[in-house]
Amino acid sequence: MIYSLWIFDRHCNCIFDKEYTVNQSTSIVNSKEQQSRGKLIYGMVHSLKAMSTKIAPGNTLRTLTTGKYRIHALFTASNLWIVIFSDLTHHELHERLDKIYELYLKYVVHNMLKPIDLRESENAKESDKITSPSFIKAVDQVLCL
Amino acid sequence: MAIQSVMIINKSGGLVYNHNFIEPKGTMNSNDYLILAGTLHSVFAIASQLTPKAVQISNKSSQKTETQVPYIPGIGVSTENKMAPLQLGSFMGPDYFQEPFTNWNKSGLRHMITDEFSMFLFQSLTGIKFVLISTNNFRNNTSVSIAENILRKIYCIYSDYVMKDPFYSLDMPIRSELFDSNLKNLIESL
Repeated sequence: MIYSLWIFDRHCNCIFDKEYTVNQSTSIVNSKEQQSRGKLIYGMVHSLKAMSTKIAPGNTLRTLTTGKYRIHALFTASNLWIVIFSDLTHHELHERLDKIYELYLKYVVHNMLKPIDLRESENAKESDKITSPSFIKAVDQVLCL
Repeated sequence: MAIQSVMIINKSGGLVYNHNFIEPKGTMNSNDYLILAGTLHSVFAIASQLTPKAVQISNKSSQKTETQVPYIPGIGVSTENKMAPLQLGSFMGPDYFQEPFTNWNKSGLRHMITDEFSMFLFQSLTGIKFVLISTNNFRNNTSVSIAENILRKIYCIYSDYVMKDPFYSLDMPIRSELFDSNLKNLIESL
């Protein structure tokens, strides 16, 4: 089962989060309560990513496993992070991560009404989030295969 | 499975032992290793905070089996000449242990895969973390079990040669030749 999906932009802000609660049909999208959680996830992945490049330069992080869940991460050249939390039965989710990146390109980057950066001004405290219903729907289809 | 390094982190996040069997590609000074140990220690605590809601809601009975690690025979012990007495310190018999064991690391970070290496963590009941870095990146469950078996054996050597050393003070860096040579034997016989 997929537990949640997180997307972080190059300003270290969480621009999309979706958490499945009981099963794949019930989910929370972009919830305010999850903000601190998003920061923790960013911090954790960031420090482990820095550590792995320190040990071997040019190295990239793939997955992290804990006793209860597994984290899959994709880092793009534009410093966009896509992070998926799954249960321990999924060993490899890179195809799905790539698909979500494609969806992001299709529904967010190619969308002329969306700003290039989801944070429009430097002074804005909170960044805007991806709210496009077609993106959410498409993400659902990828994650609930 | 080539072992790159073995690290031991004490219960307060300090690095007490580090041995590189293969030198890492990046340049790491002793300060970097201390930072690494501290990072792992804190990430370990954060990881247990991030347990998804779905896991918190679901029943806990299904998670019990996951902390049991199966015993895999023939790791780090020579099976060729059975007549020769084995050098296992105070451990009797053909191997350090022969039964499935518990990984006390229930919700913290256990395993990390990168393009260049894999990292495995084993935590004892008393909170000491054993870290193993191997050069290959493994994805299947068997290799994780093998790594945890190796780490459990390192724990056995640790308890024999570090904990029973009357001159060792707790949570301090390990400087024991016996521990060094026994660890080296274990890693070389893999």
